[in-house]
This record gives sequence, C-alpha cells and structure tokens, in this order.
Amino acid sequence: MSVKVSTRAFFDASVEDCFKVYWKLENWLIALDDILSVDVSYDDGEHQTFSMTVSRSTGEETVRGVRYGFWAKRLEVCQFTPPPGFCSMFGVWSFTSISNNRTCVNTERIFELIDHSKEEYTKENMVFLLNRNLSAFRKLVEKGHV
Amino acid sequence: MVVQSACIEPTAFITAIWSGEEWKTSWDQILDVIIDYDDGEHQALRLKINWQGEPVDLSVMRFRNSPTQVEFFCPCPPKELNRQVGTWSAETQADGNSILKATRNIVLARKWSEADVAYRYRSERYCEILRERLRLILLSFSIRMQRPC
Repeated sequence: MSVKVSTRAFFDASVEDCFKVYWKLENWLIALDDILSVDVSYDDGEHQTFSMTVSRSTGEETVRGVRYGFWAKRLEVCQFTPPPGFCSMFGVWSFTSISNNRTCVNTERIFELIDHSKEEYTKENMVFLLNRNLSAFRKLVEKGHV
Repeated sequence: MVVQSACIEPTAFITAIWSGEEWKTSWDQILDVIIDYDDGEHQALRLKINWQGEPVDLSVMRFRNSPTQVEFFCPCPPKELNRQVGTWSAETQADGNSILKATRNIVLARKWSEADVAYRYRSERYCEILRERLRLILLSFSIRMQRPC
C-alpha cells in the first residue's frame, strides 16, 4: 500500500528559475549539506538518469533513478534503487506561477515501505525532509542561483 | 511518425509493447531483453537488437503515461545517435479498428568536420531506415495480435 505526503512553499522567483534550480542536479550538492555526491549519467533536457549519495544518521544511502522534466511545470522522479527500507519511491515537484516573481512549489512523495509499521514515523520524517528541501532551494533560487 | 491500422484492442497492444516477453515473440530482431525495474508505470530495460546486421546494446527508460501510451528515452542510444526519444500509442477508430502509432525524435551524432549536407543526408537516410523498421514492428505485432473485427 503506497503512502503519499505533500507540502508546498512560495518562492520569490520566476516559475522558470524555480524549475531550473531543481532540474540542475548539481544544485542539490549546494543546497543540501547531507548530499555527498550526485552523478548525472544522462540529461537531454527532458530526461535524466542519476545517482545520489546522501548521508543519513544510519549511514550513507545511494539512490538511483530517472527524472522527467516538463519545462516550468512539473518534475517527476522515480527511484529504481530507492533508499534502504523502501519498496518504491516516486516524487513530484509542481510549479505554479503566482506572478512574475512569485511561484508556488508543491512537492509530494509516494512511497511504499518494507515494514508498514513504520509508516506514521516515516510520513512525519518525509514531510520534515521535504520542508527542509523546499527551504534550502528557496534560499538558493532567491539568491539568484539557477 | 509511423501508423498502422489493425484489429487490436489498444490497451492489449500497449501492454504487449510494455512486456519484454512479447517483444521476444513478436519481433525477431530483438536478441535479448533484460528488465531491471518495472513498477507498472516506470521501466528500465536493456535490449540487444539486430540493427543492420550488427548486434547493438541499448538502455531504455520507459514510462506508461496511460493504458494506451508508452513514452521512452534512451540514456545509452545506439552509437550513431546522440539522442533518441519516442512514444508507442494506440487508439480506437470509429470503424472499430485501432490505429497503432510509433513516433521517434532522434539526433544523429555528427562526425568530426562533417559538412552540413552530408549530415543532413545521413540523418534522412537513418530516418528512412528507422521508419521502415517501425513499420515492420507495428505490422509484426498487428499480425500476431490480430483479433476478428
């Protein structure tokens, strides 16, 4: 049974810049200090294949997957190798222009755990991580880094 | 874009396109299919195909947009190409037949110092071969899966 969590934030930046800052995976290294490495093995502007190693309290985790970009609208990720403890992990960022320099960024994760008893804790933790992610990228794009 | 009219239920056709086993049965130019990941919506697979008499290894990422459409891209396209993306889709027509469609968007790898005219000629030639191949694939699936209309 899949679980879905979502959260959102408002960025003082154009919808194009918000999309771009998320699309460029190298930015993840700058935005979040627990990202240890990012490797983009393919990027044609609409599709990416990547791996990302993250430092967690339980040790290093490497996820691998694919991202689909729908320019300035939506970015989808599917992790073929999800983090330890997860059967599956999908994510979506959607970008809605509020005005020329203001964008609503909505992010969601759909996942399935191996141990379903951990769902409530994982949902809370995931929302915390998503909010931290939004906050980090908001700072980055509002500083003009795209 | 290549199209083929056939008496096939659209979802059944796309399900066959999604299935590695169906490819092995329906198209004899597939030498091997290895599915590394498949959750029903996303799929990562490796193919070995016969292309112009040579075995070619491909890596393909596919996304089932809907029951009747599959979109894909190739992180490791054939060596002649820089980019290959495409779709498979099917829809029912008013007469009860289905239209099967294959679209491709390719960018041929340019040879060093290749003249524009030579590059355009090679691109057109490659597209012709690809169109013919897609036509044969659609024909092959439609013959195998044909049901009475």
